[in-house]
Amino acid sequence: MELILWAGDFGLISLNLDCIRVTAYARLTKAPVKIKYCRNPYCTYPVLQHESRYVYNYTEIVKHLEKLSYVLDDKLDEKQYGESYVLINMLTLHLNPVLEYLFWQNETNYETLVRKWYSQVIPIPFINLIYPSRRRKLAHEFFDTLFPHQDREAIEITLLKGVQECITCLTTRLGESSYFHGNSYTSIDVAVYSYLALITEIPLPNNPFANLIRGFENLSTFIKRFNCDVFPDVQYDSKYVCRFFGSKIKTNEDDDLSTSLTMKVVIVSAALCGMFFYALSKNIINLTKLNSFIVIDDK
Amino acid sequence: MFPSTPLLDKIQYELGAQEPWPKDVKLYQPYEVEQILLPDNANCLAVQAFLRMCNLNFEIVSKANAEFMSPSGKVPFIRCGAFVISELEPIVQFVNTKGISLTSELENDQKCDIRAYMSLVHNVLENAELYLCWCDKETYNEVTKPRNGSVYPWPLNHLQNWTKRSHVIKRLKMMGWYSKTMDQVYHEVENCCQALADRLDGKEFFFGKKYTELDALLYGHIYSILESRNAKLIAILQKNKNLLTHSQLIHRHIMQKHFDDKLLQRLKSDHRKIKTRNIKTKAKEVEKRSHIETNKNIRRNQTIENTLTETEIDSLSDVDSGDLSDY
Repeated sequence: MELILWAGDFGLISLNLDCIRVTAYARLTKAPVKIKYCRNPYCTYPVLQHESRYVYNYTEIVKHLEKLSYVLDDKLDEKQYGESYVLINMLTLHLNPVLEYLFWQNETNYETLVRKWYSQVIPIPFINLIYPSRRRKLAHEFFDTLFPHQDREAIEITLLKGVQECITCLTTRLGESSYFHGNSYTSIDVAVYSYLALITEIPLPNNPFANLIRGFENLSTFIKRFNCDVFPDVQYDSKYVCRFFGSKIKTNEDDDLSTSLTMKVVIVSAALCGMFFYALSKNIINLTKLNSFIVIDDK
Repeated sequence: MFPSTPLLDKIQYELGAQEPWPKDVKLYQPYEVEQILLPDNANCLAVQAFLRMCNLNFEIVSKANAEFMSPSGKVPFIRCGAFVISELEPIVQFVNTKGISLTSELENDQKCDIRAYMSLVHNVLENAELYLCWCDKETYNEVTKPRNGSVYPWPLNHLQNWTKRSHVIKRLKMMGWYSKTMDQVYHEVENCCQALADRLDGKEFFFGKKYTELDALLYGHIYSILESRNAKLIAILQKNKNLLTHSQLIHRHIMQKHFDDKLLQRLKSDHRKIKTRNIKTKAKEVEKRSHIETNKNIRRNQTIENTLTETEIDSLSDVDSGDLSDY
């Protein structure tokens, strides 16, 4: 079986919510899946390829894995199952708009990180510039319909209120225990991790929601523990953005100068190489002379 | 209408908290008979039930453009003194600032349960109702289009339907509901009802004998689904009989009681007037009117009672008379 995921970064297996959920589900049930990354933003993620059959979406993939007897929630009784269902719905209702807001609606996050990350991840030129702006427009439309006549600040406060209620609920429910139900991870743990990790782990410059979540100690330790238990092989990294902007993601203009210095070195050396080869091709520099110089030097 | 910023709202709520509940509170909603759609009707009924549970006075005002008058673009909304507040949760919070709360005696984890189950109802039942009204072709053409457009002249009605539909579709797309099929939506509703029925678990209300805003919200949705007469949704509800019983209980003891009291008061005052004037013909008129109104009332009740068998109603009436005497 092969699982096709959207690219991952910053210590997360993927930057798509359902991709994280499906991978965690597969790993916890020990389903033999091979992970393959795809960097086409127009595909639906995640995709499970099994014997020339393609299964899309989290729910469908979970159904398919359950058919193959890779079941995660088999130890839950009916009441716990119902409770998981209710909590997952609460997460969807309150945290889906938050993810949308953090990545696409918030101006600072979009300009400093998201747009650049996408332009690096998508390998096709032009598409890597068009896709983020189109996606942002969609997010704007979404917030216009969901919160008509409200400005950015008002939306943020409304979302914060929802997140606070949701997180208080989760931390009361989790309490001191390590798992939401019983002695092992179940689908509710997977869902909680996927949402909270996406909100807290990505170094977005303007993220009041992450600070709110970090304030609850049991949830922070829960995220860390889940990371160690399920994704021990995924190390913190910033694969795409660091390639051009150094190891740190720039947060202000002073950093901008220091990171662009490495860029300058790269550009200058590339230009020198180009000039050198041009000179070689036009016989401005004679390599034989250079060789004889080296040989003479050797003598 | 004052501009809606949450911070300003909060300060104003705090300031307003010292004032008692005014007498002239008005609840604005679309026309119930010819205009309102299933999701809006559910929310309006939920707010009405909540305010009646708190024993707060209010007057229902039907407006064709209620949606556009609302600060959040959603119905219903209340006008309470200088405040205009829309939707159930903000109204609950506003009422709480007046020192009136249905959940003050509950434990923390029970309050969390309320939030979680209210989110479930919002996420599943509300989205399913929106999907049914705006994305199911048959319902859209036969019910939604004529009802939503009924208050606008041609060609504005088509334009309004089109804009509202595109708004709803955008919302459903982002919430991941637009890609579902109608059967998947019904399946989701079934799961939701099952989870709610499991939580209710034979009790009268979600938290024993005391009703909360969650009960009001669920009543709003169940009752409006029954009124919508969608066969498939009603069939799903019939599988979870205790949800129907729950709604009927609220209808009888909160909505109905209020309606009866109001009717009685009006009749009494009418009788008094007639006595003083001593006009026999008017007395007949009032009798006639009361007869019509009680008939109407019975008809309204029938929607919910039709769905329960007679034996269940009998068992219900036992519960009513004994356990609800606390209220």
